[in-house]
Amino acid sequence: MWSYLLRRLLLMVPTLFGVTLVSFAVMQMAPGDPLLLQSGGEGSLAQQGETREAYLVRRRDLKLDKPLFLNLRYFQDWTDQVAQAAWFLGVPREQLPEELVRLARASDAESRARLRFLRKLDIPQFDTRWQKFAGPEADRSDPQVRAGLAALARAVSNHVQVFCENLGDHGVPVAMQLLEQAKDSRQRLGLLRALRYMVVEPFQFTFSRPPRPEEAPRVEAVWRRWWELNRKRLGPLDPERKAVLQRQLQQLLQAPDDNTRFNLLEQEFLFDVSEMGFFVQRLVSEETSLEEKALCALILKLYVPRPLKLEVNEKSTPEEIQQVIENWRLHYQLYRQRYEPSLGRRLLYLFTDTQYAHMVYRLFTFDFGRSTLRTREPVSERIWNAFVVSAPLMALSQVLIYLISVPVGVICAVKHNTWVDRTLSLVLFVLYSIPAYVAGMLLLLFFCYGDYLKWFPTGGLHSDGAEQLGTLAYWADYAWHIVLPTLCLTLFSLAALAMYSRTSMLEVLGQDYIRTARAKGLSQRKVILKHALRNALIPIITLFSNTIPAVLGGSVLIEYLFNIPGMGRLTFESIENKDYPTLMALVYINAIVVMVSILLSDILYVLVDPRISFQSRSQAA
Amino acid sequence: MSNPRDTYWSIVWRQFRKNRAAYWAMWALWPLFLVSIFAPVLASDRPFVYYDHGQWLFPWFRDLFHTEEPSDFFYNMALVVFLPWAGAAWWLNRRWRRQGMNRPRRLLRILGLYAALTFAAVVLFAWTPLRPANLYFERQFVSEEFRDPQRWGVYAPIPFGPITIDDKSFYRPPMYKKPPTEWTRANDYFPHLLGTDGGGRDVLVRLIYGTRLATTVGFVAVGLYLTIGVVVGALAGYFGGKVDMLISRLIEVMLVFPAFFLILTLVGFLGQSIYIIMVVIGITGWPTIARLIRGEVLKQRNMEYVLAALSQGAGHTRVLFRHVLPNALSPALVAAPFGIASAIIVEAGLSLLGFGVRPPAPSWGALLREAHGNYEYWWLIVFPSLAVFFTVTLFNLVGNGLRDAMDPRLRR
Repeated sequence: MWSYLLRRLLLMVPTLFGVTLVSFAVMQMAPGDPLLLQSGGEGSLAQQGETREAYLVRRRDLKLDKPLFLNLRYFQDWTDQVAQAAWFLGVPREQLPEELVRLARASDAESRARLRFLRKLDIPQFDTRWQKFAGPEADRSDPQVRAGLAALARAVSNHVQVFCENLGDHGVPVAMQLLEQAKDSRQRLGLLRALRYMVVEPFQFTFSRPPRPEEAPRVEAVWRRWWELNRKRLGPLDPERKAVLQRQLQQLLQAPDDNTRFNLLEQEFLFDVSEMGFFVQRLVSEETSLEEKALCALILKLYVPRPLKLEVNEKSTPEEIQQVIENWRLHYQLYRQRYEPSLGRRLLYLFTDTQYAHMVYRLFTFDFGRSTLRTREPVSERIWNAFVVSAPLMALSQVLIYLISVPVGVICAVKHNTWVDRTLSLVLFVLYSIPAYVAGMLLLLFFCYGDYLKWFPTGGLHSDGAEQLGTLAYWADYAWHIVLPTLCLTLFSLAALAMYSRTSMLEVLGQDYIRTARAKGLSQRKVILKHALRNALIPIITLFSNTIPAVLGGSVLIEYLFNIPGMGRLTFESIENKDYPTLMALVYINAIVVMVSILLSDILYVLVDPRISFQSRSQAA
Repeated sequence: MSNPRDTYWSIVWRQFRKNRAAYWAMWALWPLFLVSIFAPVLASDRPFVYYDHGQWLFPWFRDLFHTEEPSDFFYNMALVVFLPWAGAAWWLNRRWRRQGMNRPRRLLRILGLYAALTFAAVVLFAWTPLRPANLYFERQFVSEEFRDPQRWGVYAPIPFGPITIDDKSFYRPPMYKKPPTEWTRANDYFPHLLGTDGGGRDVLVRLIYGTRLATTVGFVAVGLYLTIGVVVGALAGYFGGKVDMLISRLIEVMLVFPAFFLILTLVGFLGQSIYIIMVVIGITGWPTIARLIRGEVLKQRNMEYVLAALSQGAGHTRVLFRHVLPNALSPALVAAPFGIASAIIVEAGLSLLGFGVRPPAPSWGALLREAHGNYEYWWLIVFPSLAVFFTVTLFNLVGNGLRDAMDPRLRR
């Protein structure tokens, strides 16, 4: 038995792998960027209700910027493309249309390379638009052409931005190298902009909670640099004030919880920016505890929200640009490991740093992330809440199905070819042909919305204000609400099982041992219940594998009709809202549960029927 | 009782005929197809002939070639070739009978001819300049000055179109007839037998045209997954070894996903169109068929006739497709009617959820969707429900009969 089990479990591995592949393929079919669909719509860089940066962070959390299966990016040479992107970013926005026209007319190698780069950006209908608005035939005096050209220029700069964002870390070493060699200010400007797009959060200014010791060097380095830049401007600190600050810092450290600490910081202790030098000193000092360092960094960030400048524009002075370049150098130095991984690591990343690998990792660790809906609820919580609603309903109906259909099947078989059998078979057949949702609508029509028979509520699981009722009344109300949905879920799915048990019972009744039992003089009752039924139930057990998935999955249509916030409705809503993480979790959980329940029913089959052994099963499989 | 000269199919046919319910259900399916094919003859708001100040127009005929839904176009072409085919069939049937061909074979050939003619018409009129121009695209023949004696038309028995909106009769109950004072259109004299929906469209007409959609989805989707399933399953069963292992894993993986869930997700992602629905039902349905066929082929390939054929020098392709498959097809054929029934259920369910074909297209589920939340319009629930129920019942009955007829244990 154990070897059989082990075999089956091993066979589950490739299946599980296939399941992840199929789920991944299904998710890839989702049109466009699921995160963008939520907010602005594709192609628009303007986000509703969130900044571009927050969007990028979310995108990176879901690893949507990675390649699908194979990450060759660590082995590619990005120099040329980054240089091209930087060139486009270095052109001032209002001059970009002019530059595009110049590009369309030029024929030197450099311009051709630029055009090739643009073509690769997947700008919608690029070639026709390029011909029409920028090409040599374009009539620049036509306002329509001018508008088209402006739109094209916008599209170009947006797509270059997206290119940099997607390139992410891979472009940074190249960009830094180019920055060191850059001669003119325009090139520098473009590279700095590209860097800004590639790196989402260049510096870590505060510690995470709880603080981790490995964060310390990076946080310290940032604030040390800030202090070096601003030391002259802020001047030295008065020793008396220093003592006060020391005391206040201790007081903050001893505060019992975060709330009192924040209250103290907001209302009691008011510092001045010029006093920040003290905190920097505390932060970088060797003796300070990690807690204190975290607190210092927090205070610093509170009083200096933007310590290091990383953006530049056309109006920036050369000194400013120099400073920004220095800041980027610091960033590169701090995160060098990330940007220049060792060869082994790069080989590892070839397969592990991909969308698929990250998804498999998340699925295997059951870390489904958060829903993309506005509420940003954790997916597992959403699924649990829905499961709790629909599972009792489905379980109840599954139990009812078995309780009704097996006896009906048995009766049909025992009374084979009599009017009882014929009538019951006909009824079963009719029930089999009515889709549950059609029945649900008819039931709703006759029993909930009609003028005469308003017997049942029209939907939901509880009446308004059911919480105020007593326990008994509360459950009575619940029972009243679930009558119709349970009826639909039971009555219109039991036919298949009943017919199956009828066939199975008929087969058993034709066996020799039943004749023997009868010949022995056993009562009809004993023959049916003890000899026939027990054997007839064995094949029915295989159908047991449908039960658990049904309990888990809920019923999309019935829950939709009766307005029940269960698993089916969650499925429907997450498809409708293109809620990518929730849907993936649902697909995956459903598949796993089906797989496990098939295994369970196979094991049960062998355990129940002594004629079948695991050996013969594994030979058959 | 059984004649040694009987072929397998004649035995099946005899058994099938013994099952009265299945036999009558099979005959009752013909009207369903006839209604699908002849829908524009039964119901259309385009006049067959229109007289306009000395001009004779034929808008109904021209409209046949310009439809929104691809399934409509297909059925319209079937309608266009119907008369030529009927004539040819009569003549060919007489000729073949004189040559001594047996009846099933004649029937099969004549039906095949119809399919071929329809496809030829589809190709001819969809992609070549032979397609009659859409002259009256904008023109609404019913709302012309219909009291003008110089303008009149001959209309279909039910003079309403499936998607033409009438903004004066939203949600009217069955047998509603506009009072003569409100008449503004030529077809306002006629009652809405089964009422109207939220666009003032006649429910009966939409049900009639919905038949086209339901049968198209059912047949094409099932045809698709039968083809895939049979080929894949046969390959797995016949060649065994690595091929079998790979395909079996694939089947297992596909079977692990709940079908309706997968269909819903894919259709929700890929978009609402009849093509997508058919393809999605097709790609989610094949594993069950493949598993059945695989088992059957596995049984057949160890039989002696396979060895005999191989030793006579027949190639694997020939043995598989000419000898083994015809003997292994029966489980797939039994699954077909049930599959069609469930495809129809799935399509209507998708439309009910709003993932079906795009709205104004007449689908039974779309009517149900309109009624969900407006339960006072009972006719939008009752009649489509009956249509779904009867169609599904008929297909299930035929499937039942076929299953019993093909099961040698149940032979009488």
